[in-house]
Amino acid sequence: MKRQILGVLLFLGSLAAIHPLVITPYRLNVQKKFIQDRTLLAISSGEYQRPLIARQNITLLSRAAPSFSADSEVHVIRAANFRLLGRTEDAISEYRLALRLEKRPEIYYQLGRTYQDFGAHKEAEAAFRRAAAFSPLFPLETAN
Amino acid sequence: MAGPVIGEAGDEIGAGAHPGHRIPPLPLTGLLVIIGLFAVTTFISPSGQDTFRYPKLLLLRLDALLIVALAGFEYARGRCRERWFMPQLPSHQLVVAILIWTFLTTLFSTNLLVSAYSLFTVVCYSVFFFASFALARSVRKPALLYLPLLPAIVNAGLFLMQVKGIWNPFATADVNVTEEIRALLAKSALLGNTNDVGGFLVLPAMLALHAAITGGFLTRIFGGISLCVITAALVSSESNTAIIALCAATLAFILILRRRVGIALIAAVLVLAAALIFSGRADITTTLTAGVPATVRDIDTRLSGRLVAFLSAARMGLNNPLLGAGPGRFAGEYFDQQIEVQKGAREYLDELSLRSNYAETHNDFLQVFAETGLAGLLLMLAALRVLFIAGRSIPQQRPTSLRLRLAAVSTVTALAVLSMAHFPLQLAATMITYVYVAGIILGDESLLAEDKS
Repeated sequence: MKRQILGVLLFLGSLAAIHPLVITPYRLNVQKKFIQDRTLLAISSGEYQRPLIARQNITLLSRAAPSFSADSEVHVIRAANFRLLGRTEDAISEYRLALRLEKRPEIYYQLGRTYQDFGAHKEAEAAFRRAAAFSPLFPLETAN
Repeated sequence: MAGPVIGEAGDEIGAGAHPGHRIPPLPLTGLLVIIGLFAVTTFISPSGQDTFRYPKLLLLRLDALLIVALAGFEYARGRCRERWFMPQLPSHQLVVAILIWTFLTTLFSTNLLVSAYSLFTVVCYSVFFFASFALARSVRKPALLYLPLLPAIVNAGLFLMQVKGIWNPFATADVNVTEEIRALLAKSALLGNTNDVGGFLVLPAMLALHAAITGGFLTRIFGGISLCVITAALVSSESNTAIIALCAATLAFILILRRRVGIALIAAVLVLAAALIFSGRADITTTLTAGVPATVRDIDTRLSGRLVAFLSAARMGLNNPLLGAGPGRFAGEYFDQQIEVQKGAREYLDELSLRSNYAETHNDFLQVFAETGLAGLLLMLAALRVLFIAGRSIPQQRPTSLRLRLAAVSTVTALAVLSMAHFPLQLAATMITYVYVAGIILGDESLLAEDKS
């Protein structure tokens, strides 16, 4: 009897794990590319189209990935769309979440620019300095 | 020197104990292993943000979960024929130790969520190893060892067609695709980039050599053809690490097959290298005679700017030598370490070092040390050793024993050399092939040991 229970548990447990560990990440991988392309589209769009596309992007991303995603790129894309909507505080917290997962100079750079938009120049300078400390070859703009 | 006769009929694994036995039916989990081996090494997701590496990892997860589900089902029905886990075997003890240690380091990781995914990947590879082991024990055919040749031929063939400009399925007219991506997709096979292709093909090339030398008539022909195609693709990849790994594994292979010839070849290579250095033809002369800073910078240039990644990984490991930063945490922790390394050794680093943001160390020994501490590194070395000595306890006169030694030694040599300047452990397509081959070799070894006793 013990054997049957263990076997059935293994069977059901493994099948149940397929959705969160395989299907959801696969969908997210596909959606990320789609949403990233749409984010670029939003950036190049006009004043009226931009917030509309950015809002849709955030909705799409929320459906594809949980808010506590272990993928730093999800937070970066979400942050970029928040910035397009003018929600700088939300963008800052998303960039910070991304940095908790993976510190990258380009994320520090974007964080610095978002702080600039927010008027927090001291924090912006600190973020730019972090980006420049990683690579002196990083765009000079970051060091200024 | 006359070596033992190999490649003759009737020297199949386990044949000695089971004269004239019928091949038992392929277990369903074994079928999933074979499907997984083919699928993971060839699967791509063109619509995904990551087309090559990540989809393969996801397919590995799917395959491992299906194997566990099926094994659970068979176990519940009392139809498990083969033993998957043999606690008396050092290789199985080691896999359990690796799982326990990865779990512990995950608990103390700098980011639990990220490390949990890496832990799950290690679990998937362990499942795949045990299933391959059981497959080798139930099917008992040497041809199992050569199955990775088929997906390798597909990849090598496609890569050669891309390199020669005959056909490239990834050619795109999309104007949004950058030149960099376009160049990457021009030489990718189904794996990702030229280094991934080269690294992946090293083990199949050795298996092809193994088939060409130790197999029966048809196997030799198949091995010979495979060897030509795979080696041509590997050399075309221009991946220095892969080419060096192939040369080292071939030397190890010859050394096992004909000791004297192997020693003579190694001596010849050393003499040739010395001659090149002293004649001033090899670039290494410049490196040796230049001042220290220039030398180190030259080394970094030669390493394609990877010295900073090596030093950062070493620093990361030394910061917490007991537990490391946590599985899968190198990329996340690299930033801070790189800044510290730069402060102390800026003048020794190539400009390329400072431009690159490494997600992998490009040296798996250092990356394992950085992520799982000294114990993790020792477990990795122990795993290499267990595979390296596979077949040693079996009397050397038996052809199957020599066949096993040849496969084991060349596999370990290829993996060890590749791990020095690449990251085979982090790539699903490459790693699944090594795990599969290790499972088959150790499964065969356990059968031979039982036959002996």
